[in-house]
Amino acid sequence: MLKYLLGLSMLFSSFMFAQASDDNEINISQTGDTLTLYIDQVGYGNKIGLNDFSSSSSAMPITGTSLTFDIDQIGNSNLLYGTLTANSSTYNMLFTGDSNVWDWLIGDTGSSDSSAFDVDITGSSNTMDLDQGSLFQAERLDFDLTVIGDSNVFDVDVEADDVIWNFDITGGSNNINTLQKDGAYQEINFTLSGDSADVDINQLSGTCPTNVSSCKGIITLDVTSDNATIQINQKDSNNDS
Amino acid sequence: MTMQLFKSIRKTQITILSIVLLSVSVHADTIGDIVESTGVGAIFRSNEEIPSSTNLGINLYDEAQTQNGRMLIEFLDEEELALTEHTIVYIDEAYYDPDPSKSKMAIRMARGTARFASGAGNKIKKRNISVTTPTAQIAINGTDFTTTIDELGRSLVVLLPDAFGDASGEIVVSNEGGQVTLTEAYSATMVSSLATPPTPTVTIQNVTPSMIDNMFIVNPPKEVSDAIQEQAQDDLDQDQGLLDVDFLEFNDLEQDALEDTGRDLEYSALDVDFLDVDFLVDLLDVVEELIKTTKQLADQQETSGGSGEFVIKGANFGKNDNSQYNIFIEDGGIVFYRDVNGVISLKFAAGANITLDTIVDGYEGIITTNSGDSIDVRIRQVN
Repeated sequence: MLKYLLGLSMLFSSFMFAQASDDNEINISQTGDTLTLYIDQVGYGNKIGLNDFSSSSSAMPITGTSLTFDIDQIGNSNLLYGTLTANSSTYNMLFTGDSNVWDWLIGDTGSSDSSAFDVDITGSSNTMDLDQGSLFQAERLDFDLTVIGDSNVFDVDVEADDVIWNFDITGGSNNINTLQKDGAYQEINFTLSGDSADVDINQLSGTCPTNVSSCKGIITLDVTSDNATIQINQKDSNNDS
Repeated sequence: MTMQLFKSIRKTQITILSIVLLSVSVHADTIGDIVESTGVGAIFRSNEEIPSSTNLGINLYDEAQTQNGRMLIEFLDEEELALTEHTIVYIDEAYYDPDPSKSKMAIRMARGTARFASGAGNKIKKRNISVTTPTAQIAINGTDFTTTIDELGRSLVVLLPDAFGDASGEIVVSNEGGQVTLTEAYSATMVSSLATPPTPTVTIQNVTPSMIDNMFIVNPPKEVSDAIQEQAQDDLDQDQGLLDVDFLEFNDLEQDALEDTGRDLEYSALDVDFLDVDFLVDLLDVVEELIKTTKQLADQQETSGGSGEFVIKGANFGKNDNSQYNIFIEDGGIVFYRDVNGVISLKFAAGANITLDTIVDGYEGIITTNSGDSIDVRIRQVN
């Protein structure tokens, strides 16, 4: 079994003038199990996984089992792109800053079962697009997301069985779109505190596994807000329409 | 003489030891497994709580309990026991003898809804399987059925079809009051108490196996409710002689002196009856016209009253039979809780101005709090 321990620490802060350096770029192509990837990237305009993302992109391709990600991006206008295929993996992500972009496709070449996300985002005008299980199967996903900031745009699409999300959003004008699809048990606990939010929660229980008599969906929303628009679609079908 | 006494004592000791060891080994034998598990549930074994999980072995005297979850247990002879949310089942007896006619199984349902499907019969004769509820005993002849126990111990039993849509066998539901035999697919009976005979058999219409699979039946279907009412009517028509007078009947305490004061505030999360869910509202095709006009009714409905910082229109605090929302105040905020084919739980901070537009099977309507012009929530649920 291969084991890679990769610790990257890039600190480019200029403390004298509070002026961060820019354009640090990290791109990783990695195959193997039990990877532990630490990245602390401080500054603005930094990149992990090149500066573009599409399904055909080779942005940070990582494949393996029992992977651990511990990625901190501190600063503004940073990019994090990646295509991952990882079972039994843990993701600890910290973003502090504004106008950052995080776009990951998980499970692009194989299954992505048993994932645990702990994501903390502090800042405004950040964009997050996370997709998991759309191409290959995914089961068991725990996702804890804490956001403090305004005008963030999040799009989280997961096609997985046994999904539990805990989202805690604090700030104004946040736009959040979530999709839980094709799962036997789906749960989302969503706490929103802030004005002018636009929230879409889609829960499509889809195809129950063999011998499972019901695909249970649970949506719990706790809202403190003015001028919020919240759309909830809960469907016992795998059909988006 | 002393030697004989010593031998006798030793023999007795060995016998007792053997019985104890045998007993321990029997207790520890696995009689089945949890083959599916979702949400929260547990097996209680010798005062120990073991969280429910797939492949967890089931032992004799286990108590299977679900909270916000479900589990499917498969026993050694392929009998299947599926538990829905908030269900408690005790495994009172399970003995597998090489001779199937000597094997036995006894399952006791205490609460909730469970579906039991008998197995291959190679290890245990079906007539040796019994399922009991607080008010009835169910004898099995090769069948698949659901049993629902409400908080009062009343039991609803529904015989399910086999793969070809025919009755999956026959079951006899009995208690001290009498017995009925269910022989047709979707035939059902309700048992209210140990002494009350089971209602005459009724057949539930417009139900399919997939509906049963997905929902089970938590509230009595209309046909069963009618049968209960008919039974009650028969009781009223009794002779009313001296022996029929119930001297213990005392209804004064049923008057709720607080009924008109602060009613809204009394309803809380603890009052939510998770079993009081009408899954069959669409199946029975009831009041379709009424459903269509619910929206209009909501607009016309008088303000149901205030509670704290909330004035609510289009619904009442407490359980709403049309929308099946449970609405109550919690920590100063307002909670909308609905558990029908999926849980939707919404909580809004004190004073929130909400418009809640809901379209689900069996209900379309708008509920507003206060001015309703601040938070716009649209819920669409399709099954």
